[in-house]
Amino acid sequence: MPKNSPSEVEFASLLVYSVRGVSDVSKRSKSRVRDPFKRGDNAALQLAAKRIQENLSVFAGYFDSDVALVPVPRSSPIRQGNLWPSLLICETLLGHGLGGSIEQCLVRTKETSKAAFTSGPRTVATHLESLELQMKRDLTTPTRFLLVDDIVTSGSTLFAAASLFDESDEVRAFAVLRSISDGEIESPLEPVVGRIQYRGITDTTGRRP
Amino acid sequence: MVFRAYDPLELLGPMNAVEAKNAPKSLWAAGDVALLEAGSRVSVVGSRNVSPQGVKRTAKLVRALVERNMIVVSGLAQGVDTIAHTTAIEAGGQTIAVLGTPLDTASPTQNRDLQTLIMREHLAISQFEIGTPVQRHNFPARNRTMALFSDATVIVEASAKSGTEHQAWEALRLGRMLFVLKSVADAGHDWVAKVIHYGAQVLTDKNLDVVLENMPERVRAEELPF
Repeated sequence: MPKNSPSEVEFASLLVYSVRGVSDVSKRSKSRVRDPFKRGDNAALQLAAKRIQENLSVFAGYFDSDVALVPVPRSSPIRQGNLWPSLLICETLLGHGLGGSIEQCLVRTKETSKAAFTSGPRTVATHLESLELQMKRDLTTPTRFLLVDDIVTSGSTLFAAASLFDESDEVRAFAVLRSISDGEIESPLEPVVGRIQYRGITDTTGRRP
Repeated sequence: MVFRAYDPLELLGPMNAVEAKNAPKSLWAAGDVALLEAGSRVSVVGSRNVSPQGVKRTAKLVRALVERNMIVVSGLAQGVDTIAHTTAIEAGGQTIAVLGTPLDTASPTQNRDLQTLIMREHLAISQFEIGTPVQRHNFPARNRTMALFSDATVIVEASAKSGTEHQAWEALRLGRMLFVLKSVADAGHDWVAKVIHYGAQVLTDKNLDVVLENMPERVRAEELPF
């Protein structure tokens, strides 16, 4: 059961890609922006960290030295030694002085379908059934957390993950990329801060922007 | 026929630590290495003793990949591999064979002509130097290398004890997309259920188009548009 029930979670993202856009920029945003992060491409990770540093004024407070970066699990359980893009992102950010530590405390215990291959948004309950927070707290445990993911779609994963933390914790989310399902983009680089809001009737989330 | 030796980085580009772990130390290639820059590479793999339905499913999938200008990768073994390569060629597409033998050896021998055609007009890759004996353990190693060369792997037919399993686990380890046809998922093999648990997706007629639209591509650092 979630430890708290926020109605919304603050999030930030650096890049944007269009799922169904038809312009050259939109099409390239999938193959040349989304795909490198999904495969843990080191050049893309290093460049993203550099762009975050250049846009730190947008992300005020997100990457402070007392913020613990929390890699968000993939949609399926991860075997030890397997590629975990969110952890690679956290390690790259920390290597650039973004954030203060990494807490590998979120675990996916069973598989969920990938957002890209699911016809509708996944419910928050689906994620809560498959996500666990495994953290032993003591006096040195951070209280400011940044959930880090490669891509935010509807935000249901990040919302569910945030709800597992204590009410007294400050929990925000960061995804390198946010997707837009329709419409065109002018440039993949679009640093934003926004909100993931819970929709109780459907147990789903919406993201602004 | 010219067989050239390569450092894996020449053919694969920079690798992250997960990719580097099982990457071969050397590679030999014959054919058009520019194919490695030509688009998404999708492995189509499965049983040597392929069923009639498996033949149809393999051909249908490969034609769909070729229609979308994807490169069909396989291992030039009997069965699914052979159907994958020949269908790609017949459909006017491009194919890469990742061999479990040195480039001058054909296994099975009846695929010698197909191997020669691929080396001449497409691309064949091997991690085994000329003169290396062909041993059973070559083939699981070849499957791991095939996963490394592929942006995604599709298993179209498999048995309870299948060499394809090695490729499935390696694809997952590398964080590459792994798909099993619904017929494979329904067959009830333990290892298939396990790879689905760890992230393999079930490919059906219904989601085929969406999956193909989402096949990842490789990007060079200088092409990153942000």
